[in-house]
Amino acid sequence: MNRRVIQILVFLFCISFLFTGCAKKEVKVVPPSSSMSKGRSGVVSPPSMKQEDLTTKKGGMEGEGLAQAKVGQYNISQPQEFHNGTSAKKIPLTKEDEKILHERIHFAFDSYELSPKAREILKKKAEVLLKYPYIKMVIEGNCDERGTEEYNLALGERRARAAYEYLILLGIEADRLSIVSYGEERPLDPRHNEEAWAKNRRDDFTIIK
Amino acid sequence: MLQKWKNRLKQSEYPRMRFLSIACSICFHLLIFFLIVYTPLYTPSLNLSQRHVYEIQFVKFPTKKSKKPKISLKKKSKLVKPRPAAPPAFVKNTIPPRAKPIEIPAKSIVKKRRVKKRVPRLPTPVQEKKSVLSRALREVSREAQQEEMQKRIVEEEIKRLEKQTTTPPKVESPPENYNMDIYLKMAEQEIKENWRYPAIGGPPLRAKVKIVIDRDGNILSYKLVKGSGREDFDNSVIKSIVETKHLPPPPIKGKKAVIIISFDSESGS
Amino acid sequence: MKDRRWIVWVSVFIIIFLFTKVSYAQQEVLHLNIYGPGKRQLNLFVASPLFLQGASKEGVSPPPLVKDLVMALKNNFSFLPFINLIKQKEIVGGAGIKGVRVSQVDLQRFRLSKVDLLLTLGWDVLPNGKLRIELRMIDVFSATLFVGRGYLINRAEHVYLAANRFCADFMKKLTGKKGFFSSMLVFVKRTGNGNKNLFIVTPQGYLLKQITKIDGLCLSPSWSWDSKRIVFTLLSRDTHALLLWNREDGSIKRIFVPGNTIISPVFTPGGNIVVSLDIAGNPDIFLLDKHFKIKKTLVKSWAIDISPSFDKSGTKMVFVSSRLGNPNIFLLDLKTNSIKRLSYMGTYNTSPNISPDGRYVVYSTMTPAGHRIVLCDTRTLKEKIISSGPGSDETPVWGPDGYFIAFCSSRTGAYKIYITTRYGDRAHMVNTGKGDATSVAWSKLF
Repeated sequence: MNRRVIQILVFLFCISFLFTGCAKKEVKVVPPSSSMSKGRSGVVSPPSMKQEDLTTKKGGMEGEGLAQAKVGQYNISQPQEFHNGTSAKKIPLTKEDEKILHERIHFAFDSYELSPKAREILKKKAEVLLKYPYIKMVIEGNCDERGTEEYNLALGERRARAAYEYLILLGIEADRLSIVSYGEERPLDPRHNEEAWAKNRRDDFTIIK
Repeated sequence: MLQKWKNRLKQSEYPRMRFLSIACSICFHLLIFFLIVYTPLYTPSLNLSQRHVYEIQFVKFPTKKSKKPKISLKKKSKLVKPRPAAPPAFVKNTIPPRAKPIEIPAKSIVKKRRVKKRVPRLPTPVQEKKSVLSRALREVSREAQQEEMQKRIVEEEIKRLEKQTTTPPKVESPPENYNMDIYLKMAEQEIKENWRYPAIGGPPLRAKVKIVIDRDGNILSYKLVKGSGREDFDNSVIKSIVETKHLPPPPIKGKKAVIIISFDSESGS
Repeated sequence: MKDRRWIVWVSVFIIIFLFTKVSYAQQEVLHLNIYGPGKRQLNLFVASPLFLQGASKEGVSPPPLVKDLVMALKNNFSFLPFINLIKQKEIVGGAGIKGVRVSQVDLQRFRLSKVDLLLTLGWDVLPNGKLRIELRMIDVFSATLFVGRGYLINRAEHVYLAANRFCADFMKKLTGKKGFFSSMLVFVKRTGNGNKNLFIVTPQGYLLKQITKIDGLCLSPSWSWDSKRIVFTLLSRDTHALLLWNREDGSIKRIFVPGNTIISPVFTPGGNIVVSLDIAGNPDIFLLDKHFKIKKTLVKSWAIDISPSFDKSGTKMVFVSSRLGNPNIFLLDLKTNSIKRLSYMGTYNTSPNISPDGRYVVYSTMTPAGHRIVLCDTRTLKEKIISSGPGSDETPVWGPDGYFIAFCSSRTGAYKIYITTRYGDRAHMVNTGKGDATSVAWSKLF
């Protein structure tokens, strides 16, 4: 009995060794398709194949046809004429005074501070404006091309406003002046050097009679 | 009754002892077997990709002792030179932030009082000077400290070199692991070159492949041990192994080696 | 006696087994970690188009639309930094294929040439004159179909739509993103008489179209989040006007707002307009309601505050402010109303654009060599320059996936639109015809 038991035990142990040995056997190199157990081979009619008819109206960019992007037109109406109280006395503008009114003022880079020269010019303008009460002006702020568009629009606005406020300080009525910023869109000098840039950093003054 | 038992015991004592002894012997052998087979697997494996492989250029050490002070002097003079130059250079750079590299800042003296003063741009000149000076002081003291540290490092280096020159150089074969480091680096290079995957953001993916290579470095077999969940990533990993048909011959004793490679889609640990 | 011998034999057997196990166990198991693929590109080969009727009509040359489609597909792939187009001469054993289906192609040659993806194109002309196209993107290694699509086309326009749709599906499957092929760019170009008008184009350079014909300067266009409207500024006759273009009927409507200066209008994800106006004497940022009346002041200070940009949750807004003396980028958290500075590079930082997930901001910094695009992480505040010039790189904008970035650059002289990625991959030019293309904005998914 005991001998039998011993024999069976030892036999079982040996068998177990055999099994563990098998499990540690190496996997041979096999071609990829069979090692990938997903089982997908070259499918004749692939399930992911979709048909689309782009010739129909629906076939556009995700249903919203690009042909639907239409051209738009718009015209800004002329700015309304400012109506002054007394339209009777209209002293004609002399050429000299016109020149003074058109004279530009310039600014330093990234700055909207009025230089002493700019103040002198603005003082002269104020004197002329006081002489001709019917004249209105548009102050156009400009920048050189170096900065970015949007920031230059803002900077142009500050430059125009600096001149505007100074003129108001000198006694000109606010409704005679208006501000617009052109940013870097209207350079005087299209070149790309310091000289051109210095010319472009300016306020322009346009007369409205 | 008792007598019967005693007799039985007497009869069966020897076989029972035998049985016990054989069982004990088998257990003992099994224990040794498990110890031999499994303890190597439980020892911590070296994470070799993290180890840095250093390239050493053999340089002749100066044999004369007189040369050593020269080295320290040279270094000293190098360290001393930049010091006087630093503060003025530093002060120069602290122009108020509005200064542009192209132009001189506008010099506009505000004569008249402006209507709306909303531009508190620059700090007053005195404040500016104070902050500049304190910054310069801090900079100088920091540089002095760095100098000190560098001097100390140089001195220690010299001491170490002195020690090395006095002891005779030992000629010993590099340890096994040293070669393995380099070998695994080389293997990594080879496999990585063939690993193409458009990892452009998205969750990190990891896969493990076990390969068996022979003494000449030929890849005998591979097996994807752990997938990443994405078939194309797993494919890319297996492709890298399949396209790298051989690695350089490994520095191993046995006939074969097993390498378990972990592929991680994110670079930089 | 017998028992002992038997046991001896068994123990010998066991010992032999132990030795073999020992020698196996001492087989070295090495570990190697590889972080990151060697190449972040897949090799792709576009096969020559095949007539679907097969061998009966060999040598039939494909119609021009098919050739255009192949060109468009190759152009599309050239924009993808994770695709490397393989040339015909690199295919070992010749690049000719006998069929378009996976089972009909001998993939072994492509495997040897390390091609990962193979695109086959089959064409056929239907009796009604329409052209039928079958595109199959095949994964060479596993010999499976990755993406397959068929299209019916008969106009040049359809060619680009087909190329974009296929590439969108392909890219979506590969990377989870598809916005690059399903969105549009709007930008500004000169149109004679000193005017500037708005144009739209796909990011690959297709279907270029002028969408406004206005006398004046159109600036700062911005898409609504549903891609149905564009809001922009018009400079004309000495005034600023805020205009709205509607894609469905092409109508343009003016929105009247107070102030003299209108800068950088944008849409919030909720469909409201946010714009910078100078009502208080300097540009501040205001939120308009659905009736275009001022609903709320978002940013107000003595300084210039312009150029807002929102993330897709609508709670984070980046903008430019000169409150520190020079323009810098700030982040406004609309929930807590806190403002945080983001840009620390140089002294002139403008044009910010926040990614849809709100994590990254791109902006333009001025360096002595010109403007450069900077990528800033809003969480760590780490910044990196991702464009190289030369010239000036301005107005960066994110694509809808937060992966591609478009910007305008004067690196070749005139300003053109370029596409790069947030990793700073090589910038690829978008064909927008002659002349400068500036002020680009990128729509969300169409």
